[in-house]
This record gives sequence, structure tokens and C-alpha cells, in this order.
Amino acid sequence: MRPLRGLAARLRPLLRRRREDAETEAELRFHLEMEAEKNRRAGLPPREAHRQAHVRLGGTEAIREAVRDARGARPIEDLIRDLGYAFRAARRSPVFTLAAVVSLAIPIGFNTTIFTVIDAVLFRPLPVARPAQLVDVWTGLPGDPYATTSYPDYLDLSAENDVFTDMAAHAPMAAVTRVDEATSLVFGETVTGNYFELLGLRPVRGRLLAPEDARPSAPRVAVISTGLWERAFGRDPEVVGRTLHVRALPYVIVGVAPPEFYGMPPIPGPDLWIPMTWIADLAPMGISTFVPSPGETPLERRGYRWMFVKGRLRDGVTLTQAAANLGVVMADLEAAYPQSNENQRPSLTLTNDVRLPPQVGGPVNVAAASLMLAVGIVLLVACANVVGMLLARSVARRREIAVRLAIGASRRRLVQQLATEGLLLASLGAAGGLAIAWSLLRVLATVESPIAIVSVALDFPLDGRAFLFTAAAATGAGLLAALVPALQATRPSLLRDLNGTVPVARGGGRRWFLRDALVAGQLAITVPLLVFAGLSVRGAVGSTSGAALGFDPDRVAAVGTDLFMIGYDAERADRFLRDALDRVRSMPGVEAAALTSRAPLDTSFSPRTVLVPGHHDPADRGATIVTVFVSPDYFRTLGVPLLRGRTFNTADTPASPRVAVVSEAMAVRYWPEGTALGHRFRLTGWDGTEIEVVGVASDYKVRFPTEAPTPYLHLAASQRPLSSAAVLARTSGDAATLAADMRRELRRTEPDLFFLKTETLRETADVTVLPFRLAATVAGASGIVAALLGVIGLYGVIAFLVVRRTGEMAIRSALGARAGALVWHVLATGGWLVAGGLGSGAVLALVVHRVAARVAAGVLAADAAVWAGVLLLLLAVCAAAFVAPALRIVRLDVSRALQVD
Amino acid sequence: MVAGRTDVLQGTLELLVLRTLAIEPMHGWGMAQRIEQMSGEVFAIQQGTLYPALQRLKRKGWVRSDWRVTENNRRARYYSLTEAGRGQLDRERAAWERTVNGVNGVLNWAGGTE
Repeated sequence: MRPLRGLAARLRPLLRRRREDAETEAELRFHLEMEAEKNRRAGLPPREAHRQAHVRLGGTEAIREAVRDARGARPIEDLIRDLGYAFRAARRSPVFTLAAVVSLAIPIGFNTTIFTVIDAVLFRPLPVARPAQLVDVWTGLPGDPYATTSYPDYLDLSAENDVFTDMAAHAPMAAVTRVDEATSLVFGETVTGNYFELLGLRPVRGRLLAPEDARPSAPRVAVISTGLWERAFGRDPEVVGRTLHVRALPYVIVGVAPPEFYGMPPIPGPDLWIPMTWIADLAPMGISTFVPSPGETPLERRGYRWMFVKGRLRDGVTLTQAAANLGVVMADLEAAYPQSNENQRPSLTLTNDVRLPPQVGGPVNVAAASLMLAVGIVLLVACANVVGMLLARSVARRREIAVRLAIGASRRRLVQQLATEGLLLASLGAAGGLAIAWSLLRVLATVESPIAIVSVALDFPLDGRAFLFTAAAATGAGLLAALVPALQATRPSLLRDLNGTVPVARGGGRRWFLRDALVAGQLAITVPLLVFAGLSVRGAVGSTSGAALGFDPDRVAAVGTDLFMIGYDAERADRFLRDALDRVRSMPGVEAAALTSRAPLDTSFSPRTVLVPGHHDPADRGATIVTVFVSPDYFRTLGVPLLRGRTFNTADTPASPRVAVVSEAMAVRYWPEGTALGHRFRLTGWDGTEIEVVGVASDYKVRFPTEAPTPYLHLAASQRPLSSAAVLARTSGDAATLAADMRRELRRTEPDLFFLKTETLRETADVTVLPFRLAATVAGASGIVAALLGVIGLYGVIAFLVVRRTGEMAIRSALGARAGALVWHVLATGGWLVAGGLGSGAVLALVVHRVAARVAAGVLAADAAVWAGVLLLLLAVCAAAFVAPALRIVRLDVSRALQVD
Repeated sequence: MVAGRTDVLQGTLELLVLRTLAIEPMHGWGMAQRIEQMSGEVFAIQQGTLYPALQRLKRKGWVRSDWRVTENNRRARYYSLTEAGRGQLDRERAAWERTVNGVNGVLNWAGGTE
């Protein structure tokens, strides 16, 4: 009650503010009249009597402020009054207001958009109970520590550790799923029974999975996401108890996960969770490594490492303590199972802090940081611009400000008021920015995911964090933009300002130096942004050319399928694929066709361990090399030259000696002297027999367009049945058309066939550099906006320069100077600004380029044309800023101009 | 001339105002005249500081104000002492006298040093 009454007491004077102000005014007027009257009676002339009364009383403005202070409720009262002033000021100059608001809205919108996306991917607290306690547990070899874990290792880690309250494991899967008659590919996870308990989630319908669901005798059950509940079941309130078929096997739905649960890193957006019990029917995908170990299923094999493991820290246990404890457990496992666990070490990361597997996370973090930096810079440029505008306007208001200072308004009050004006502009800018961000995010949500088989929604809603971010950015921008001019404007220099004359020559010194620097700075910032954009685009395009890739991506179609997914056994699958290859080969326009277990630049790859005599002891772990099974025409189809030896042929059968074609990088690494042909090596995880090198293929890009030459091992598909493969075909016509025709042809004999991939290799290559193209697009758009803002600022300076020099120009012109000379004079003055700005920008861009080239080697082209293009473009745009002011000089009416002062 | 600046007489100004109003209700200008007159022209008070001081006293509930017509038929804001104000005047007066006695005691001390 008391605080309420206190508040009321503070608010009441606020409501009476106007009346009280008027009363103080009247009271002071009465005082002055009485004092003047007294002075007159003492014999002073009326004017002097009045003046002395004022002197005795002091500045009335200051007294009024002190009275308001004494009355209390001052800050709110001031704010309301300042807001009133600010609104009136904004209405008085609508063009200025609009320009400032738009200048702020665009970069704020950009910032909010990028922030929302980055926040969603990297920073927003995970939608689980007490996310800070969750830890990712990786096991791996010293060279590759952040790798997946086997189920037996998970069980032992979970049982033997002293640091976690519980541990759970999960692995991604993609499965053909049928609901009633509708079939689609659903992305999901197979999880341990305690997965949801560990995360501490609550269902929106039914229940989530429990440990009982993972018992071998338990019925087949599944939990679905809110998204799948909407898409496939139309939010049926009776969804619990309904059945969906995954790979033709029925699972009963027991519950729906909460809508905010978008999966756990590093696997976003699963729609389906099935207990690990059914692993044999699900065939999970993702990163996996394999060393031979006893057991029939993935759950029994200690050498099959395929799961992501998470633990929840006990209270008070640190990450370091947990890592030490798990290290001991893993050392015990290594002693007990030397074959499968040799050198396997645990690595721990906080799930909430490290959202992506560290090997992927690094580049993503760098990309995120540079995006944020780029849009942050644009916001700074916009601030600089609004600073420039406010500075220009505060010159016009100098007299008003000087008068208020003279009658006793404190400088603090004036600065406060000007800051309020800035904040009002920023608030309007923030509102506009949110609208822009909202529409940009809507556009993003409609963009089709580049990974065609799985629909990953790029749907990032604007949430409270985004609003908070926008408010912070806008407040910062508003204060920055308002305070600099406010401090400048209120710097007392009464005499000059009351006089109304501002020195003309040399533009009044310091004040203009600040604005010049702002404009030059704006121009400087645009150079690295545009150069970076240009180099990224050129680099991305360049790195996907046939010459850079080492194979010819144009006119090659790829259609991938997995026959296990539709219930084929290995032999039937292999027969189907070979038949499919024959049929594709005879399609019109096809010049060459081949089968491969993996198309170049695919995101998935299977590394295998190679033991080369003379390099690795038989007891060694060997080297990890990405391996692919291909049919004979593979190299011809891709256009990869064979440097030595032969490719596979029909003589290579399961019964004949194992043969391999190695990439040049592999040949150079292991058999540097002479030729690799005829040398033998072993492969762990196949059947252990020796493999002979029969051919050496030229290097080509395996995983990413910018990688260094990488050892790559080709084995004969004819020596081992394939169940999942892509058919590659080179056409004399259009590859996209061929890909569609191939799909139709393959479906003819198997209507249930499911395609993992249908695209041209050109598309594959382009998708791999998509992040760099996106970054380039954002940097380019930022650069263009920054350049526009910079040029507007430049125009402002030039125009102001011309107006302020009008008198001088007129005199010169009257004395016979030609207009051309005057234009030249203005050009020279502004030219210094442009030259300074672009020059320092070029230096800045060089530095940025150096740093970026180290981070993203190979993607940024070293391209002088881009540099020249950017600088020429900016010069041209800057020149435009001179045109209108220069024309004004040419048309100068001398006699009119001389009347200005 | 800047109002609100704490000068040495800040504390005493409020005491003087309360004392002046104890005589009769008065307007601001009248108080300024009266204080100068009563202090034997010792205090030339900073007239501008009077009004914020009155506002403070009003907020504390020691004075109240109302608009009246002066003998010259002008409207002026008159201030008068409240009951609480009278009590405050007595307390401040006692405190002031203690201070003065103490200071005088020090100034007039005739004892020797050790």
C-alpha cells in the first residue's frame, strides 16, 4: 500500500504539471514587477529598474527548473516534455525524419534478421530442462577426437562414470514412413529409452519415450514431433494410439513432443523418435566408423561407432572433472578391448555452448561472426549518417539552443532533450527494422532447402530475444547518433551564435572536420564489404569450374537410391542396380554411365582404414582414407583422366583378386618413387585380403571444392554387392532433363523406389559453396546499402559546402572567375574526401582479405578485376553526389547570392 | 546564480523562511524583503533560491500556499506555516541554538593548553 501511495504522490504533481508551471511563471512575474517597482521608487529609470530586478532574481528558466526539481517527479516529467518536443520537431521536418528513420530501419532490419538466424542456430538456450548441465561426450582417435561412439561403449560409460546423473544416446535416421496411404521420407532419430527423461521434456499429447520402451520385449512405439503431427495427422487430438509404418513396419504413436523441441545438436529438425531396440530395421545414417568386433547387430559391436552421446552433469561437477573421470573409464575399456578401443579417448563439450560438431562448428562460427560484423558495420554507417544529418540540423538550431542556454537551461537538460529526439528516431527506425526483418524471414522461410530429400524448414520466428536485440541495437544507434551532435551543439559559444554569424571561410574548422571524417569513414567501410562480396562470388564460381574440380560437373546427372529402405536384401539390391545401369546406358543421349556408392562432393562419406606395407605395421591403426565403390565407366563418366594403369573391368569379380584405383595424391603419399601400380595394401573392415593397385586416377575434389588434393580410394563395385548407390550418367543434352528421365526409367520396374538424390553434379557443386554465396550476398547487400548511405552523406556534405560558400562563390564569380573554375574548386574539396575514404577503404579491404584468405582458403579469388570494379563503381557513385550541387553553382545568381549574409 | 547550488546558507535559508512565515502569511517577494530587513541587511539572499526552497518546504508539508489579492489589488501566491511547520521551526531553532552555543563555546574558550 505504502509504495502505491508514494507512487501516487509522485504522479499527482505530474498530472498538475501544466498548472504548476503556469503558477510558478505567474509568481516569478509578480516578483519581478514588485522588485522593479521598488527600484523605480528608489529613483531608477524604468528600464534600469527592470534590468536590476532581473539581475537580483537570476535566470528565470533556471529557477523554473529548480522549482520543478524541488517538486519531485522530475525524470518522468522531463521525459514526457522531451518526447513532446521530439514529436513536434519530427513533425516540423518530415523529410529529415523520414530520411533518418529509413537510414536506421534498413540496417536494423538486416541486423535483426541475421541475429535471429544465428541465434537460432548457435545461441538460443536449448529447449530442455537446465540446458547448462548437458554435455556432449565424443570418443575418437587423437587425430579425430570429436567422433561418434559405439553402443557397448555408451553402456559402459554410462554404468562406470561418477559424474553424470544419466547418459543417453541418439543417432539420426531417414526412413520412408507411411501414414494411412501417404508415404514420405521422414527425418528422425533412434534414441535410448531414457533420452527424453535426460532432456526433461513434457509431451503436448500422450507421453514421451521411457526406458521400458527400449526393452527387447516391448512393442514397437514412436514419438512424433508437433510438426509431423500437424503435417501428417492434421493435429488429430486422438493421435495417440494411431499407427505409422516406418520401412513397412508398424509403430504405435505414444505421444507428441513439444513444439519448441527442434531436436538436439548436432541434428536439427527430427520429426520421429524410435527406441534403439529397432535399430536393425531402421539403418541410421551419419558419421560412422567401423573396426571389426564381435557381435551381430550395431548394438553389440563395440567397433561400430555411430551414436551421439549426451550426459547430464551431477550438481557441482565441472566439465574438467567429468572429462577426467570418463578418461579413466575409457582407459579401462582400452585395456579390456584393445582391438576395438585402442587409442580411443573421450572429449567433452557443453551442449549448450558447442552446437555443432567441432569440426563443422569452426567455419560456421567464423561465417556467423563475419555476417554479424558486416551488418553491424552497416548499422554503424547508418549511425554515422544520422549523426551527420543531426549535426547539419543542429547548426540550424544553434540559435535556439544558445538562447535556451543563455536563459539558464542546464546543458544536461538540453543534451537530454536532444538525446530523446535521437531515441525517438531510433524507436521509429526499430519499428521499421522489425517490419523489414519480419518480411526477410518470411522470404527465407519460402526458400527451398538445398538438401532436396529432406525438408528442413528455414523458418526462424522473431522471438523475444530478437525484439530485445533490436531494442538494444536501436537504443545504441539512437544514443550514438544523437549524443555526438548534442554535445557539439550545446558546447557554449554564446557570442558567435547569438550573433547569428558563423565564420564562413574554411567551413568553421573543427565541427566540419568531424562530419568530413564521418563521410570518409562511411566510404571507407563500403570498400571491404563490396570487395569481399565480389571475391566470394568469383571464388565460389571459380572453385566449381570443371578445371578447379578435376572432373567435369556439367552434363552429368546423378540419381541416388537406397534399396534396403524398401526391404530389398543385398543380392536383390545389387541385381536391381546393375540392371538399372544397363537401362540408363541405353537411354537416348547418354554417352557414359556408371554406378558409385558415393557421388563426388556428397555430404556423406565413408572413411576406411588402410594399412600400407612399409608405411604401417600390421599392428598399426593405419590411415583413414575416404573410399568409394565404383563400376568400370566411373572415370569416363566424370571425365577424370586415368594417369596410369587401367580401370576396373568385367574380369574383376568377387572371386578374382581385389583391385583398386587410387588417386594421384594417394599414390604420391605411399609410393612416391616409381609407380604405384602393382603395389598392395590392406583395408580393415572389408574382409582383410590384400588389394592391388591397378590404376592411378588424376586428383579431383572429393568432399569440398576448395580442399587440397586428397587421397581417395576407388574399389571395384563388381567385387562387392551394392545396396545403396547413385547412377551417374553423362549426356550430350541437358543433365537436369536426363535426371528426371532416369527417375522415371528406374521407377518403371520398381514403383516403390525411393530417391535419395536427383540432381546434376553442377547443382551438387553449387550447393557445396552455397554458404559462401550466401555470405557474399549478405556482404554485397550490406555493401550496397552502406555505399548508398555513404553517398547520401557525401551529397549532404557537398551540398552544405556549396551553400555555405555561396557568398564566396558569388564574389569570385563577380570578380570574373568562370563557373568551371568554381565547380573545379568544389570537386577538389570533395575529391579529397572521396580519395581519403576510398583509399583507406582499400587498405582496410586488403587487411580483411588477408584475414579472410587464411580462414576460408581457396574460396576468395585473388582477382584484380574485382578490386578495380569495386573502386570504379564507388567512384562513379560518388561523382553523382557532386552533380546537383555543381549545377547549382553554374546557375548561381550573383546578385541574389550576395544578399544572403 | 545557478539555482540548486548548495551554498553555506542553504540549511539556514529554510530556517529563515519558516521563521518569517511564523509572523504572518507572505508572498515570495515579501519574504525576501523581510529577511533582508530582519537580518539587519546582513543577508542579501539570492532571491532565485527562495522559490525552490519554498517548493521543498511545501513538499515536506511545512508550508502551504494559496493565491490571494495583495493590498495593491494584485494576485500573489501567499505562503503560510502549517502545524507541522511550526513544530519543525521549534526543532530547527533549538538545533540552531545548540550549534551556536557550541561554536561560541569553542570560540570564547579561555582555558590554557596542556
